Amino acid sequence: MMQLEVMNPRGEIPSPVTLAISPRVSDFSGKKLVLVDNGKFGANTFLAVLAEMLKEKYPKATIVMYPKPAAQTITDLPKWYPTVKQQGDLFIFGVGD
Amino acid sequence: MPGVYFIASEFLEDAKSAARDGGMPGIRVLTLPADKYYLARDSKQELQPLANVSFDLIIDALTRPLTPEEAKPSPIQKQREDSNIQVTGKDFLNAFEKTNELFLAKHWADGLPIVPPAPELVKAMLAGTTRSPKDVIGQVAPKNGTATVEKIAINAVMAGARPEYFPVILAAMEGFTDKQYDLTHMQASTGSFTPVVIVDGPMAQELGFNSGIGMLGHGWRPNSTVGRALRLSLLNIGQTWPQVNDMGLTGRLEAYTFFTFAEDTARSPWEPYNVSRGFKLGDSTVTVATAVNPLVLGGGAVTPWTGQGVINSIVGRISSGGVVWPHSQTYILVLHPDCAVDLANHGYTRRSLQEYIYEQTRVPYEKLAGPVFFGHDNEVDFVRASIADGRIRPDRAQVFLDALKPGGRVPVVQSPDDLHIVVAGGSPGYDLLFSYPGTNWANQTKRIFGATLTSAGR
Repeated sequence: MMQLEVMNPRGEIPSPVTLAISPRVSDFSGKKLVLVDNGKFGANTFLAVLAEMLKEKYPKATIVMYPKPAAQTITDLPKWYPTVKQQGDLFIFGVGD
Repeated sequence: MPGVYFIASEFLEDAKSAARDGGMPGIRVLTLPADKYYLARDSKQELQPLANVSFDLIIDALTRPLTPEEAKPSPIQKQREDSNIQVTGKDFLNAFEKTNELFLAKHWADGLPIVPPAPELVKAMLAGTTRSPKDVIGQVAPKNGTATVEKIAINAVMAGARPEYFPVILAAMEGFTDKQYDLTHMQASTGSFTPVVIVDGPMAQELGFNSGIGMLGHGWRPNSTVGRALRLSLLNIGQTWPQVNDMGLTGRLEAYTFFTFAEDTARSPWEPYNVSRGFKLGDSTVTVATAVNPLVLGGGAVTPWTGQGVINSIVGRISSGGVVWPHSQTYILVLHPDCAVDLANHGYTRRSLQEYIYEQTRVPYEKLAGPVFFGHDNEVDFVRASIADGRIRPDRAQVFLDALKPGGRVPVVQSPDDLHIVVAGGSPGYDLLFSYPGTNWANQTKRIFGATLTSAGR
């Protein structure tokens, strides 16, 4: 039998701090739903369809669109994401690929 | 803030992977069927059935109480990647084959056979540089794996590189991991980008890189294995895999070795490319750049061509539009030596050629048209937004603002510096035009140093 020793080519990955997702809401009355358009083709159209449905079913909720700015740079994305929280109480983000 | 993410269904693994990387594995994700969504996405009417199916799921995702695991997720455990592996076979060839099977099963290989990275071979690779095995070159996106000199050496052994090439590989990895290079986009985007790797200076000649006929093809160990060492380093240290977090839709045209070649400085009529990038004459460098697959221009051996004719074709291609980011492209133009000499004989320097193409490709304000990405209905709005968000660099903003009026001519590239001109290819030859939809994080040039086995690159 022959034993071959080889080295692991993978990079060590720093462990992220594990975070819980936010608690959910019981209903949408008085809440502001933020529809975040990630800027991909079709996302604004799909979210617009959802906005119309949400407005019809939840008239006591406020529905707003919040487009991700054009051409996010690799350095300013971390600054932009927290701004979503300033726009309302819940968010729907799409459409990713 | 409670939320829900929509993604196309083919990207579910990618989304899960990104959620884990970000430390929030419990993110609620809903999918739209990719085979229906992409065809329907231009029409509210056609999207309505998909929204109908999704609607109750959205409400559920935003209102259903958290499970105990969602409320207090188990800590994500750090994966240790530092221990050696023992592979047992009935003889060497069997152990070799088993190593290859194991590495591919673990997603540590590229599908072609690898050289088993035995400690002795890695030690020999490390002897090609003065740099310490534990030195950190950078973090490799998308998972920010730590690229030590040793980890890169392991991948270089797997690729079949010689120790003399190792300083080139290290310099290229410095480029890929530079914070001013968007490696995540290159590694993960659906755009299926392929890196261009250009070796310049005395090291290229000493190592025997091909810069002539067949420069992008097989048959030259430096071109093939330096490129493959980078392919494997990015794959393994950044921990990517197709259909998981490398979502290049077609895969990459040069998937195994990238577009790796050397500039032909001996036959170029101009100063070396790296000198135009601010390096000293005699420096050895490597440039890494993100690109889509190139256009092939010129007549080669088949039809007559002139240098000016090639440039006219390039001007036509660049200014004709049909690109996603009309005002922020980076171009790498690889001219074969005869073409470069013909242009030089007609008075062009590299700089004057950059400026000529830049000027000739500017688009009349009246011809700006949409539609374009990111919710802008026309290119004027798009250009203004690009100035506002910094994609058009502050030092170039006024040029664009001055052009956004009747009679103005709007640049298609931000500056002549975003047209990179390199001389390489056969005689006769073709000319290559690589492009990339981004300007500010598209390429990096790094000096090769620390070599121990060559005269150059020390």
